[in-house]
Amino acid sequence: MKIKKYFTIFKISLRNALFYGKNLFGGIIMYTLFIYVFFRLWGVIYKGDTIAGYSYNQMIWYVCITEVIICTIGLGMMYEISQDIKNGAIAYQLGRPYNYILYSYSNIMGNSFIRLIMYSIMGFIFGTVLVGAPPVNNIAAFPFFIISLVLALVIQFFLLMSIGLTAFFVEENRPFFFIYQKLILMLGTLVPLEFFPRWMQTILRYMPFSYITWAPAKIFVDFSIQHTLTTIITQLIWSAIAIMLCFSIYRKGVKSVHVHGG
Amino acid sequence: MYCIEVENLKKAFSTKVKGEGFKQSLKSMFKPEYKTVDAVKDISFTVDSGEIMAFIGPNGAGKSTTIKMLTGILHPNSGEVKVLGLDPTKKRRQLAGQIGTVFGQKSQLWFHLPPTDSFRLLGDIYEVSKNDYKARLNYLVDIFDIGDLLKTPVRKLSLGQRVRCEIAASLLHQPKILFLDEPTIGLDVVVKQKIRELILHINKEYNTTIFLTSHDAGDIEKICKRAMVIDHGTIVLDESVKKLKYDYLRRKIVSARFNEKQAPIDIKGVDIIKATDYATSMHVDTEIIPINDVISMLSEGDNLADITITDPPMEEIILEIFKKTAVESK
Repeated sequence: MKIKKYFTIFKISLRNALFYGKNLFGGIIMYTLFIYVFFRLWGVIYKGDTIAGYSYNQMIWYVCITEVIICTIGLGMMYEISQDIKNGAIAYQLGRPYNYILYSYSNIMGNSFIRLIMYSIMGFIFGTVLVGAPPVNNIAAFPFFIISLVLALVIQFFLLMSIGLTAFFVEENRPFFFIYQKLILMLGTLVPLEFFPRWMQTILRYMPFSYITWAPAKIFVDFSIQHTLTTIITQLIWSAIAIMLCFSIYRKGVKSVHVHGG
Repeated sequence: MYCIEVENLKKAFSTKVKGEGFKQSLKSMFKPEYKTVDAVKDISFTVDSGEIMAFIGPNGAGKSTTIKMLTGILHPNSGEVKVLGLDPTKKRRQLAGQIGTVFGQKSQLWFHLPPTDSFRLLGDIYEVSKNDYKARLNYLVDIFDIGDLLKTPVRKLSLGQRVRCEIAASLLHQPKILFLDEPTIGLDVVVKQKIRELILHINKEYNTTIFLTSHDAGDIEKICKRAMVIDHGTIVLDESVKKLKYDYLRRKIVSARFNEKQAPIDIKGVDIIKATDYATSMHVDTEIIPINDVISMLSEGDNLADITITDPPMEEIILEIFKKTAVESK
């Protein structure tokens, strides 16, 4: 397997994404709106103390970061993959000497990269303007945050891709996306995991959903080496599981592929 | 040496049957009924390397399904497929490096980027070395005459320009077989002609096997040496294009113009297609009456001003084949 071709796909996809300037503009408005709503909401709730261990400053930075992760991988491209499978267009991609999943990964990452950079810059500006400097107590938080962020995007991609590939077996898989998206939003994006009852937290720590937004954001706003290591190890395990899940669905799906004429 | 061998290939799809009305919809939710559609029923054929083969048939005849099985995208239900000695479903990626595909309806070029970006990407995907890539690209740019288009975003190219780039893109890795699915769809006559010349050129220069599906009889007539007609999943005819024409071209079209008003023509074996006072066009069945006799009959009395004899277009021939096989199968 040659890595070079996947890197070229990443580069081309990145360049292609630059032509969708208007899409990026829409994203900027969405992101701003999100942050504004949560800024006002938490402003009303907070009365100068901490909630579940998060100060007001940490909370706003938390939302700025989780929204970056949520907005990075757009569902649009996942719908496209499902659509390609349903209408048979996937046939043209299967006839190439590359691994389809890695191709999609490079393609979508190239497309998402520009958003990741853009929202990160916006998040940094919003956080600083709204509540001041980031609540980082240890410079070591940064490298661990980056690692955790990358792993979060890996889990996010391969879980979404697994859902997308169910189009091989079911006629309509959009509901799965909706359910998944709501789970991610509820379990870590809008509010940190610590806000849930203790018994629920225990369960959620064994589930993948919180490791996409809660895990990296928590490392950024409230760094402790103990917590960071367990988080990253859990993320590694979930990455491996998500990748295996995705590949096994793909292998099964390709055998039963129904590509009609046309 | 055969480069494609197909034996007793079968492929059936099962599709959900949905009845009309709400009640039926509910029923199919809980107890779906399936219907099997035989897309390809037991076909066998071989293609020599370097051959140009046309694969003809109406919509839904099984052409695309067969191509998809040959390229390893679809798994056949039963039967044996060997492409370049490999089993396409088992060695799909290995085979993919040795074949090229152009699908008329689906672009492989990135819409917003100039073709040169897509070319480089394909070069990397097919693992073409830097030097080979350069030489190959120069050659293709030269013969496809796309030098000026390389830096223009694909969305700004005309269809004819785009198709030229598409075919060039699929040849970057020097495939041994080129699968063309409706390559000239929607093109005007001049561009069609150009594309046909290019395909012939590639075939001659590199002995590339060409496997082509088309609705356009002209493609088949001008490029292919052998034609295979498929209908309802079975091969109804597999013959050289020459023979095809010979068998089905006994009917000639004769158009005559006259100096003076011409009395209605009534000759056995001649069907009038269209007649005005000064011109007549007609079908002549040369088995009933030799073309010579018709001409001499028409030129009696020095009234004949002009005469043209043409072969009926390929469309009619294909139509006739379908009619004939439909009658035979009943």
